Amino acid sequence: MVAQVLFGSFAAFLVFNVPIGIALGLACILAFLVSGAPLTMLAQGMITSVDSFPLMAVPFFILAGDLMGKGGISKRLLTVADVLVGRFPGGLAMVTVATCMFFGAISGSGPATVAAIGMMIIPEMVKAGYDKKFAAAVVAASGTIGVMIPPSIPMVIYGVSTNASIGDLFISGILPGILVGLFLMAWCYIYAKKTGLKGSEHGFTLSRLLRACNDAKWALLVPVIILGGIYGGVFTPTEAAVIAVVYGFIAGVFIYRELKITEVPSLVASSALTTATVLIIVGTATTFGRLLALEQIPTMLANAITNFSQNPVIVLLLINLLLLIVGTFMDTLAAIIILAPILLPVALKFGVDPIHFGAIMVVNLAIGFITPPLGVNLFVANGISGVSLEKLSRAIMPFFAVLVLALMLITYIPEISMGLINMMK
Amino acid sequence: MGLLRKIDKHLEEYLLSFLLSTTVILIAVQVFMRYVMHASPSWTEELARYLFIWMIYIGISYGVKMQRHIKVDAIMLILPFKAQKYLLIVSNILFIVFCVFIIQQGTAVAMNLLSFGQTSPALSIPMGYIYMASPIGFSLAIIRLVQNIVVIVSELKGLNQENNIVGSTVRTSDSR
Repeated sequence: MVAQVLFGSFAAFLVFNVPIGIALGLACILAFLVSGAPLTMLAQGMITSVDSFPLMAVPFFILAGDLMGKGGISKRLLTVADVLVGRFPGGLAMVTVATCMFFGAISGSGPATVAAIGMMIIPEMVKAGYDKKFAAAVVAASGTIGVMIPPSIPMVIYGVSTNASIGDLFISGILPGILVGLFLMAWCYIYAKKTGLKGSEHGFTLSRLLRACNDAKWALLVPVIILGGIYGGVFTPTEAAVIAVVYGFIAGVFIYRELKITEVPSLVASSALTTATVLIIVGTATTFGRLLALEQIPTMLANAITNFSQNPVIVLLLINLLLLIVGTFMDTLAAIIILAPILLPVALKFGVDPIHFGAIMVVNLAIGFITPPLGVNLFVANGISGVSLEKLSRAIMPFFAVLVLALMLITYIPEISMGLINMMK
Repeated sequence: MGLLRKIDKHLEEYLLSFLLSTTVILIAVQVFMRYVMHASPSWTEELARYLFIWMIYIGISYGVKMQRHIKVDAIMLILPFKAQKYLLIVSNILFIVFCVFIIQQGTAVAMNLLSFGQTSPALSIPMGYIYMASPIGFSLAIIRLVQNIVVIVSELKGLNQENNIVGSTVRTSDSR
């Protein structure tokens, strides 16, 4: 009974366009009325669940990305990417993918990356003879890589929701991010061959690469500091995020001089705002999850799935399918907060490592950024390119297929996400 | 009147900038102290966490003002413009109901903690002050929700008067 009230009213509130966090909270209140659980549980849980040092990494990583994303650094990363892959057929499209990979190593954010890079590169691609629909689709699809390559905010949220090590989760995202990047580039290459697009005339020379890297060195150092710091035991992920903020501030204001001090307060407020809209969901979802656990829903779900199939291949396929559908309609972080605690017990029952499962969830839900008709990256790409959503939805389909293929590999070959971690142990 | 308008326009923004910048400084100091001064203060992390809690609940009000709360927008996409506006009014009212509940229960929890005199381990801050973050944040949010409803109602009125329905755009939730 309580479970029906929880899920039924939650769904109804979502239909009424109530924010996800508030809908969860209202559902809990109704469940209290039915079950007679103490009403103060929710008010208390809303404070205790966000009283968490690891969660504080969220606003800091957002802020660090914003401070460094202002103009200067994205342009320099693009130059590095151009030297590396610009000369191949479909070079500009590959440059877009590679720039998003570099950018992913600095910021944990998706749509912001799409906007920053798309505005620079879509006009260039159109000038070079690319179909505008394809150009917009490349940008939208590349924007999914940002959340896989560390630092990654979805990974932080998954780690806090499931008590998994955030440091390990970060490492587990590196190879999947690179894999997805290579797959997208491979598709760009095939597409370019088919349509006769050429690369840039500049050949590759070591001196060009060194010059571009030197220009972008402050940005390229960020992943070294963050991952090296966390893994070297120098600081916790949250402290690493703060160091990245201080670093980004100094690089933006004093080294590149492209960030004005007067712009900083509004960037800070906007990062706090984004954090609050996510953490209100953590605040209420914790109580929602506790009520579900009291009703033993996660165990029942695990048993139901076991009764349906004992085959891990099929179970993982079903979970992936469920996540793809949810990811289409729901924000990535919201989906992780709500579903990770419910689905992880199922995955554990089938011998999936919690870290590996985190990588699966993040990659899968990132695909939701571009799943028509509601993918956020599609909206952003539509906004900056002017290509209609219908056309963009069609142009994105090959990329969607490529991403799903990569997801399957990441799901069924645990070494892709676990390999680096095992190597370091 | 000038001051009141300034508060209306920037209150949350200023508070959030202050709260988050202070946490950045606190944690940067913590790292600095540990590696340069070889001393690990216990109060920096504690204070940073408490400011973070306040930041979240002030941020919820700012989220209402900026209309940035994360929603499932699928239904909005298929509704005509006017129906969208009516739905938004309902959604804002449900949000207010939640605020009222949390203000009531959250204040009760906070008052309880204050009367027991429970304090934080490192800085001995009364825990009640930390728990006041949610009632105060949601009180601010109610003001913003009412402001939103007023705007929507006047939009609907204007729409009825002009009687020309223009194509609509739907906000997308910002996800990261």
